[in-house]
Amino acid sequence: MAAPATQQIKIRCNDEKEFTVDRDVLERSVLIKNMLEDVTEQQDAPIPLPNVSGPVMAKVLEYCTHHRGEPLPSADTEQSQDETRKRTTDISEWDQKFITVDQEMLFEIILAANYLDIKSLLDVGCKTVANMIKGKTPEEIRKLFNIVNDFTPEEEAQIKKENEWAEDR
Amino acid sequence: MDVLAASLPPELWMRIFDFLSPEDIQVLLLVHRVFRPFCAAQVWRTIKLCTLERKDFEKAQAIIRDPNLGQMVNHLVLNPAEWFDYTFTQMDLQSLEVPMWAVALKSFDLAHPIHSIHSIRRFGQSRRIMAIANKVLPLLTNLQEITLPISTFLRQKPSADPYYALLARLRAPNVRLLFLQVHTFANFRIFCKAIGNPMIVFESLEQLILSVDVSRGRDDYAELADDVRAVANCGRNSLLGLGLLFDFRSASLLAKFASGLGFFPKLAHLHLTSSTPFFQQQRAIFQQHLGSFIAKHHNTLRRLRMPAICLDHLVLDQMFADSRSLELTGLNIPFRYILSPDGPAHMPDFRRYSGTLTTLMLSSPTGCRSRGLTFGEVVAIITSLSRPSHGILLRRLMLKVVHLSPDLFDFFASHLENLHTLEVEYGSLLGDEESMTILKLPFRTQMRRRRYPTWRLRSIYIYPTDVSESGIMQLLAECIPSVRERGPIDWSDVRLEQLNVHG
Repeated sequence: MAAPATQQIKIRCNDEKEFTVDRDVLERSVLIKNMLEDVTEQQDAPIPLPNVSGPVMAKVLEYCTHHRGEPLPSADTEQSQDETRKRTTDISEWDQKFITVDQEMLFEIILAANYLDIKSLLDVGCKTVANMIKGKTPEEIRKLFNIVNDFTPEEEAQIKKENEWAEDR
Repeated sequence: MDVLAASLPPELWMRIFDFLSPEDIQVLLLVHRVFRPFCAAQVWRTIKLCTLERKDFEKAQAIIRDPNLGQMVNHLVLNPAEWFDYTFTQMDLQSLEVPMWAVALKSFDLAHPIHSIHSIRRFGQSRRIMAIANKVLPLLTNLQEITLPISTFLRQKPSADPYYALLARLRAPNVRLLFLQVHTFANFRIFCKAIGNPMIVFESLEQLILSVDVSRGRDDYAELADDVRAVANCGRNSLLGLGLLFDFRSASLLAKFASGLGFFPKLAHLHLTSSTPFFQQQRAIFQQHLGSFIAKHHNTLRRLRMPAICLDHLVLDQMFADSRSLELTGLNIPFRYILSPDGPAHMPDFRRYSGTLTTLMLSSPTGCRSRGLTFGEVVAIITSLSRPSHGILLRRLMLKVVHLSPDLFDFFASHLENLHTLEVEYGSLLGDEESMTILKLPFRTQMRRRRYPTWRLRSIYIYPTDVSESGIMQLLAECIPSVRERGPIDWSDVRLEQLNVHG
């Protein structure tokens, strides 16, 4: 028996860029999965995604295509993984290569993953930012994210004093 | 503030901060005003009332001064066992039996007869922190997780121990996870008594993780199950986890333990720790009882952590004959196997699981520090895990007491291509009999000639070592472009001995 043809879904980004994608790829996004479940009849009109641009969506789809077929985390596994999720900043080799993008794109991917509700991609993005921050001094972090220091030296000393006990070790 | 960093909403920054250590979060406090509120939430998320270190003390004092801060605390760690001083200088209170888990935490060698240690005393300092804890506990109104390593110093008569009154002050309507290290079944019973009516205190409880030592054999599993039900059934979705430490000296104890598990039909997590290896006869009993238990509870059991070294692969295979989704991701190989007269060849064959193995720890009891792993031994173990067709997926390698050498780095770089984290505790650049000055120099010279341009090692931590840490990091960073030092090892975070069963 021939396998049933994969349903193709059209989506439209906020810059009018359209994609036609296999349903199982798109369903890595919980947002789109829920949308599709709500639609009983097949419709030709593209699903509008007003919060995502074409280039970002292309990256997101690259991720979803690579991870298609992998089990989606259920509420249960998510709960049990929650404790280990913290502080584990391991990223798989493919994901690491995938997320090697400029900062603007990285932040856009995080926002898109959050909007589209793709938890695994959101974690990859957040871990990447966390890895960029880890072990750096305040000045290095400012330089990294192009942030201007808004503290006076007095304020800085005060914060240091207030929080020197906050170390958890 | 640059638009880029400001483009993420607070909840996403919070998610990013989940992956950062308290040290990194502290640094972020100094980066920009905009991070302060997020960082503060992170800083206040956990409170540890364990020691009278300044950081804990001041955090508690801050909450007493500003009760609003108490609402930000989600996780309480209350460990009166650490309210003692081990210097024996100001003893004034009763003597105390050191519980087995505390012995373990203090890195005593569990292989030695531990029940003879019972003379550590508590002294006046505990009164001070008790007073603080009494004030702080009622202010923690939004707790979601409580870790209580209570133990044998809970006395049968409430009037004899102020800790009862302290526990009764816990107000935790939102607590989902309660992690109790109670050491004995009897202690858990006392705990239940101490907190009065658990229906009121833990009304939202979803998970009760109980850590007990089942080695002594006096325990009544049916009674324990009753007590567990009293606490765990009050929740909406009463899943249960048990952490069991066993040091079985007889097959009958093992059989009792295995059949005792039958009293916990809703078991979701089972963590087993053993301080002794199994003998062949025990393996068979273990397999029979635990195997049938797992088969019965396949629907509820979500995670099984156990020292895989206790079982050979045949037992594992038989136990999980029906489960193709068994994944062995972490493996802890104790030194006693490596250092046994038969050598690594004596180890069970784990090659069939090496396709999923990502974390390997080569551990040692404290007493073995003087005898580190040699290059040849590390190579033998790692080679024994590799299969020609699969290689080794190993991403994290943790070594305790190893003689670091340029050869070892060469071997890792050429054989563990996926390795991104290397942690060495008690690393040494010295041979057993060589003097420090003789060997340090050749190590540096030889390492300077090394280049590992394609090695993707990202994090490395070596502690402590016989040369300056910064010196060795600098040296390694020159050889491995991607190397980056990570923070100090938090061994409590390291999840080992882990068998993930996906139902």
